[in-house]
Amino acid sequence: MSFSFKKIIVEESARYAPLTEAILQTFPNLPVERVDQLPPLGPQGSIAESKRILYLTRFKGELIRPCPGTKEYICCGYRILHIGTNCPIDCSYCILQAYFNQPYTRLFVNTADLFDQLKAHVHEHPGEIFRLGTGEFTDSLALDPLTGFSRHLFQELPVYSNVVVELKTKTRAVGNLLKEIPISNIIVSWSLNPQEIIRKEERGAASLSERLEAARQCQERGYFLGFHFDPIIVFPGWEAAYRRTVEALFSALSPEGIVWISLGCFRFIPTLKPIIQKRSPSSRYIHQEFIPALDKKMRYVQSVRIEVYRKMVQWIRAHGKEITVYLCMENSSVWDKVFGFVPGENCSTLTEILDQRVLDLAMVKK
Amino acid sequence: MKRRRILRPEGSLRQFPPDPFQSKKNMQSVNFNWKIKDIYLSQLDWTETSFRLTYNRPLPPLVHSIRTIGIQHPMVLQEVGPERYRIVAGWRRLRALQSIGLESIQCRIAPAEIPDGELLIWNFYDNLDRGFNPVEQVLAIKKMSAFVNEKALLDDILPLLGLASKTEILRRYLTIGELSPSYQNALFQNRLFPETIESSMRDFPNLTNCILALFIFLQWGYQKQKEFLADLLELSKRSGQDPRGILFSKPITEIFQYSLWSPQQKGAALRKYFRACLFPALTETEKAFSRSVASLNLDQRTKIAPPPFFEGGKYRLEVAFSSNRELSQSLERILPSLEEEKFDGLP
Repeated sequence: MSFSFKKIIVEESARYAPLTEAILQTFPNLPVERVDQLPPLGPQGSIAESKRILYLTRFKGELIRPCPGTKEYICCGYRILHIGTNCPIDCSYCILQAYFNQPYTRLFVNTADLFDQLKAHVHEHPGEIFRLGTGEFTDSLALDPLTGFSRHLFQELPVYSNVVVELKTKTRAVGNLLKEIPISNIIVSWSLNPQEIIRKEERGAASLSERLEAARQCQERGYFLGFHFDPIIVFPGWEAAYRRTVEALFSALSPEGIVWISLGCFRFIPTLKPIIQKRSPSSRYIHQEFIPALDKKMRYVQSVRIEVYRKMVQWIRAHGKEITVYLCMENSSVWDKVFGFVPGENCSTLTEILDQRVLDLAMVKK
Repeated sequence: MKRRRILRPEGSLRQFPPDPFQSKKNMQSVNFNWKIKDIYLSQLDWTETSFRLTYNRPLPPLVHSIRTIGIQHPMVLQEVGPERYRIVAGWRRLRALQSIGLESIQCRIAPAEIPDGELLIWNFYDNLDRGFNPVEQVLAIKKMSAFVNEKALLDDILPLLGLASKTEILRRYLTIGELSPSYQNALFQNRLFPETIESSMRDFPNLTNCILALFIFLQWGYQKQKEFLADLLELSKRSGQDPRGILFSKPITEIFQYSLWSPQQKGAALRKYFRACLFPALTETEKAFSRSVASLNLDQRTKIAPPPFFEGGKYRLEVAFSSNRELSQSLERILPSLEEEKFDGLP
């Protein structure tokens, strides 16, 4: 899979970065615009058009930050490794569409700063497990063939025994990973959905079979894997479709190498609905029963979410009772009704559970 | 009489002809070389309402005023034929004079070469200090859009009408300007609203009359009208059903056929029906909650409130009491259910 850009914008501060030079050499024929700061896209610019412009900049803020959880919902304690925003894949439900004040496919070229900040963080919090991910504001691997970011991880991470980076993707861009010898600091994970959802709602993403084949190759190479059924979309026939997807997952992969599987039902901030309606008028999933939840996001009614999760957990656990399954940003009531316990209530917190999973991995690798 | 044929593209914001007054400064400078002339009221063309920007302003107070102090502000006419005049400004004053029985009155006569647009703007400014009701706002924008460009409407006219200078507002008023005049009274009485009229016309073009008549009948305020329109659109998209099919479905027609109910009761039933259609899982949860609470056998003073939308699972138990005895009685009714763990059965 390759993504085509129609233009590159280089911010002055990013001009002499090695990554900038490498990217410009890769695309010698693309028009290049040099700017002092982020130019406004203007009202005429569409999101699809914006995604085809590669914007190279230095990110001046915190490159490592906590995942923006809310207190009413149980957070996994993951930290974001901020390598860029937006990606060339155009998912109809993508929350980033609602934040159009950050246009373009933006890449932060100050990779060295990122690893400096990581070093400082680890030094400031000795003994803490750092579960980091690059897939919160972009796809972790969509631009990896271009940036080679994953290669830096192989160089920088082995010195840390308490740092794990999860590369979350909807692509099959694992070429760089397959060239390396796996390290326990890297987990490769895929967002999964039934093929009918991928085809309609995840434009430009790899098909389910392509994702699972890429995952299979990574598992065969020795990588630990994660999977995220998020967003789970309820639609007529969802049960059969998601069950088929779970079956396809375990047909392709061995459950022993799967670190965790997360589940999260579709939720959205209210301003996203008109954007989805406008950009994806054939998408029916936005026209469903949603309620305003405690975090101001629209969610399926709790009883619906509980039913979805119970079934998903049942289908997954049929392939291994010990598989770590967790809920992404769900409330304690849902946890209790799905799993019979609430993380942090007379037991480990979700952060502790997942941190322990990381420690287990390190033991396995040794 | 000079009449301009105004060609308007259908289905889009109209193209405005060149603006004779390109800035507010120019607009303020409108003035004519009047002639003063005594005119017989029988010489007036009362059917010509091109410049009229008035809706539903009662005549008796004006008649009373004229009887007492006379005409203080001269009417403006324009000659349209031999001894025939059309009214530019002062239509109500002339009607008042007619009702008093006056046969002629001294008027200002605008030169024949003054174009309609300038006369309309003159009348608009002539009426500015009295303010404009919603129907008059629609009339003013609709009529002036034929002569004034979009920018001038946005920058000058809308603020003078007390409206925000926004394209969406201009479009709204231009859209509802196309609505049948039979709804003007409902708009005037705040039984219909510009926003809900526009939504009805935009989202349900084949049902507009039906929906507006429904709103008038149900006597709904703005919020209920707005919610109904959003719900109908959502239901239609969700079910893939034509809005007409939803509106004329059996459950809804039955609500309106029930002769003992007042419009308010019918409106409440309609909203309840829509809610059940839009929130089937939530409605089921509410029913399950009611059944669970009933099984707890609590007394009348004890209430259980679910979390909003049953999200999060935190319930509130409230006991109203005025004495130790009352509280004790209530708690005695609660305790057996607590011991039997019946509260875990709440959805």
